[in-house]
Amino acid sequence: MKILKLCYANINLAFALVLHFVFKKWFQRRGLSHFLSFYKEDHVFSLSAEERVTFSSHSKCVFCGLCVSQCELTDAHFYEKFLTPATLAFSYTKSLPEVSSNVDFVAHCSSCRACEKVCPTSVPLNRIIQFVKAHACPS
Amino acid sequence: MTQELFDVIIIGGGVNGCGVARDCALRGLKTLLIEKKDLCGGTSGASSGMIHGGLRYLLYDVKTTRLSSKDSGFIQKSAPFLLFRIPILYLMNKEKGLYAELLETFFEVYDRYAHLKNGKPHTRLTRKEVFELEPGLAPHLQGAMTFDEWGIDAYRLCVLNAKDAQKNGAKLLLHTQVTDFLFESENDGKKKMKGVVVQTSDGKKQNYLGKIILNLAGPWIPKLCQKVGVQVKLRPAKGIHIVFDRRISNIGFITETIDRRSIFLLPYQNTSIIGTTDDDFYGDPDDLEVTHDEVQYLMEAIERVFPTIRQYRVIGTYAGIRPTLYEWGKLEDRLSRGHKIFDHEKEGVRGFLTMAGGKLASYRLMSEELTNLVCKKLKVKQKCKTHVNPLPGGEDLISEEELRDMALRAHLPAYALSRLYARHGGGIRDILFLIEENPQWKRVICASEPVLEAEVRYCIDEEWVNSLDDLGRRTRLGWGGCQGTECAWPAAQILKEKKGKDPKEEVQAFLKKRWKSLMPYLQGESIAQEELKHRVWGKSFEV
Amino acid sequence: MVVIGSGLSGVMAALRASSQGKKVAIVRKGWGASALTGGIFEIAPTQGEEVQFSSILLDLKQKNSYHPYHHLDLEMLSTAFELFKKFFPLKIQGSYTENQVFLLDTGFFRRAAFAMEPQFLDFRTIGRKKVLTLGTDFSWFQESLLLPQMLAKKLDHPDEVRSLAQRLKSKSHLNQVDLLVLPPVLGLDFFSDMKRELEHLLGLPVFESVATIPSVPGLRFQKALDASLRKASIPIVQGKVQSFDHHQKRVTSLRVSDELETELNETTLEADTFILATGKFFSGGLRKESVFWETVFHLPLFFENEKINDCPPQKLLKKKFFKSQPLFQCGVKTNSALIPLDEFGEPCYENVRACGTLLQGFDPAQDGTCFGVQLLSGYKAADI
Repeated sequence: MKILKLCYANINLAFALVLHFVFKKWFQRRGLSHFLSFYKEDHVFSLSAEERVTFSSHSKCVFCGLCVSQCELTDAHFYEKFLTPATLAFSYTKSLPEVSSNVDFVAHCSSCRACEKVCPTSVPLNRIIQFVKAHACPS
Repeated sequence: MTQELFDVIIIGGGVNGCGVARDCALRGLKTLLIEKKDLCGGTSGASSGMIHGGLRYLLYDVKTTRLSSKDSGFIQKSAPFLLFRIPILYLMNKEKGLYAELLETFFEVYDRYAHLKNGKPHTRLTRKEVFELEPGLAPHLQGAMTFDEWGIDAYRLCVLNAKDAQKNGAKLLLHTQVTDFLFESENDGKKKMKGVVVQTSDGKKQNYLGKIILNLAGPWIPKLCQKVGVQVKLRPAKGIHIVFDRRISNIGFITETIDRRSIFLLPYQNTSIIGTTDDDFYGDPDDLEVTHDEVQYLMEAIERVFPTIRQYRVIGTYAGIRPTLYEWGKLEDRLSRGHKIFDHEKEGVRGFLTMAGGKLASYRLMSEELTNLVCKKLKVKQKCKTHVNPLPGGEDLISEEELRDMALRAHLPAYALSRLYARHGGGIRDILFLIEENPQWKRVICASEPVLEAEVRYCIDEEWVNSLDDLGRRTRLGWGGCQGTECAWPAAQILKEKKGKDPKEEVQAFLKKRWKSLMPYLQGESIAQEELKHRVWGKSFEV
Repeated sequence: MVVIGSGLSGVMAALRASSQGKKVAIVRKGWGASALTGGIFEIAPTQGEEVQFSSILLDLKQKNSYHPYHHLDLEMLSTAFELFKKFFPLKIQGSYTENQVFLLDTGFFRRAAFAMEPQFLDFRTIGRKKVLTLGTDFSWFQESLLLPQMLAKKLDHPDEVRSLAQRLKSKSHLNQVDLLVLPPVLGLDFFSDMKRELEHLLGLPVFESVATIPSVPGLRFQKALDASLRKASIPIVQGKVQSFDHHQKRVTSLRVSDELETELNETTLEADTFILATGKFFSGGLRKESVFWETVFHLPLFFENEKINDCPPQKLLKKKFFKSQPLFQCGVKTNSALIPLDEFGEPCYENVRACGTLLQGFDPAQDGTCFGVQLLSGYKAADI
């Protein structure tokens, strides 16, 4: 039984191989543009080469909260959206910047960098905010 | 001692146990599920979190690929919110040549099944395109084939199956261990198993009677069988994974290790994982440890294709045992991932079945097969509905735009709501209702997800949560970068309010576990985080 | 003199040097563990009997021969602290000879010698008084939910404190209570005034519990440290030490720049002496990637005088998380003058001193001696 299945599988593949070579010229060769369109709704975005170099530094936040007290924008209004420099580094940029709700926060950030000046682990908070601005989905 | 009679008693609360419980309950059988610790705490909880279409079976068993892909589609339809698509790059060292053509043919054949699982056809990327997509890859790579699979949170899958089972009349006993079995002799000299003796977490003993008893205990199958007096031989294999604090990339990569095994770096929800190893395991499944060597083995392999991987922040490691079917002579990787149902009637014990082997992706198929057998034995004529019925939360689909509106109206962070939806689906309406009645339950307990207080309370009430560990499995609380620094204490307070648990013990146990998972690979900011934890909590519980 | 790191020991060293007439500057890339103090400060790990300095040393010699107290003179503690208090704007109360018992915001207790003003409530003196302690879930405190740091900022305003007093009066039976303990959020910059205001409005003594995380008392403490530097006219240079020059076992200068925008503002600092007060892993004084290293001068690191990079991983990490971890005791080895030494016992650089939690031999979180070590080592390090 197993051997029959194995034979079938190999014949199947062999046949496909032949078809592959025969129709290769006429097969539509799917490349990057197809890949990106297939996975558009899954928010597959790529990092640029510059972003990739510094991306690992986005993970430095240990959520100590020191930056929160220094940020001018962090007040009650923004806490409803759970937005502080720390949460931007720690929570919101973990997955994809599904950040339509963050657009107003990042838009109002003046890059004063008061948050960075106190961060014990040197999280590149300003750079993270620029990253979010660059990749934010338009709301 | 009360002695309730059930149609089916299931031992084991992993994905198979919960799947079978659901199937049996949906078919009207009086079901009891008994789990030693927590749902999905064993093998299922240590999986790679993928429902895949059985790509490699194309090499020797095409039917299995078709069935797997079809079933992947069923699982997806039953709880679409639970799954996330993972586009994967199969990295190639040579762009042209016979190997590349063979590989592309292979994926072309796999494309035929893509529609069954709502997947996309393959694409073939040149070297330039691969680097455009992911500049962090190693320069020696020459191209890639792409395909996609679905990722899933195995813990949520178990819980949702269990909830559906309970909704349809099943009874669940967690933190309850089966200590002995009850028999009655029959005329033909064989024994019939008529029930189990269990011990609950507070030491009480109880008997439960069942017409059929199913042994779905995974790595604990041989131990249980030994108690009964029958034998099921397994070849347990240990596998580990490494977890990162965020998605390193939105795309997965498949590459090979130093000994030519296939491993991957995949996005998993809002983190990334590297996996996995496969080594014969002869130890105690209750006492697993990830070793430094295993972690280095995986890191070294990924480093070859993604050279900067060691700069990224590892927040944990986890290990599990695969209950692989026994076979002498093969390498662990080459062992069959098939499953087998053992009817112990042949060994002289009626009413006792074991199911071993298999994988996460085939859980529904396996459950259906076993339930069919159970129904046959009990002469019940109901048909399987698990491929059609939605899981709790799956009957009410909410689009991204609608989620954003709901977040605005409820004054909640949109990201928190979308993560909540990924765990509960339409069930978020119940949680939002809780928030409407109690606005202070909007409080964020764990920043990692983020996890709201309302969800913590909901899970404690509705999803069998008895400890911070259980809560972690249900909501991923304390599983992100913070590893419990700020969230363990407030969560323990809520647990105290609702279940009377001692917050000091809960926090200590939780932080100990996080430390244990980090120990094999502790460096960079993770040390800073542990130092912070040590400083804040090290002496905060003295009297 | 240049001091690297502006936590308690760095500031103590800078203040000592400045009071001796030296020209001092302090360099820092951020705040550190001092900014997360819960509000209490430890000198010796005793259980409450009167502490004799000689008996602490005896105890420590037996248990831990690598503890920095072996290099430090405990008799100097009061001198160092008095100098510190000349510049430090906040009240820190306590005793040099006994530990009091303070309440944490988790409801448990911790012994320490000193505490900041709102935390200074010794529970050994409660006797039969009725104490009302309020918890950290702030639903009784406010309508919307704020992180503690934001709530403290809000409570810097008398109107908010008045509103709080109203809510407290309406929700709790304050007439039956002798003492009120609140979570540590009663104001950030003006907490002294706000405490007095609330006491006046309620007619009750008001205290705060000791913070865990996030820590508002820590913010108050660090801001006060910064204020002490300003009072002593010690300039604060914001930046990370990127590299340094040295000649014949002496460090000659540091190159400091903003780590994240290195093109801007590179400063070179020259000095006769450099004091390293950079802390452990949290504040970035120590780091591990494939190996451990000290991040400024790349000094060798030790655990119990064994080079840490030669230690097998099992030696550094104990399975039980809450036990004292060797990893958090490792640090720089020094002689009695606090000059860092290499594995052969030779000074690494003659004009460098190390102080604070950077030193090997003690666990700042666990062994109950952190404040004493920081003050004394900072004070001594500036002794040139």
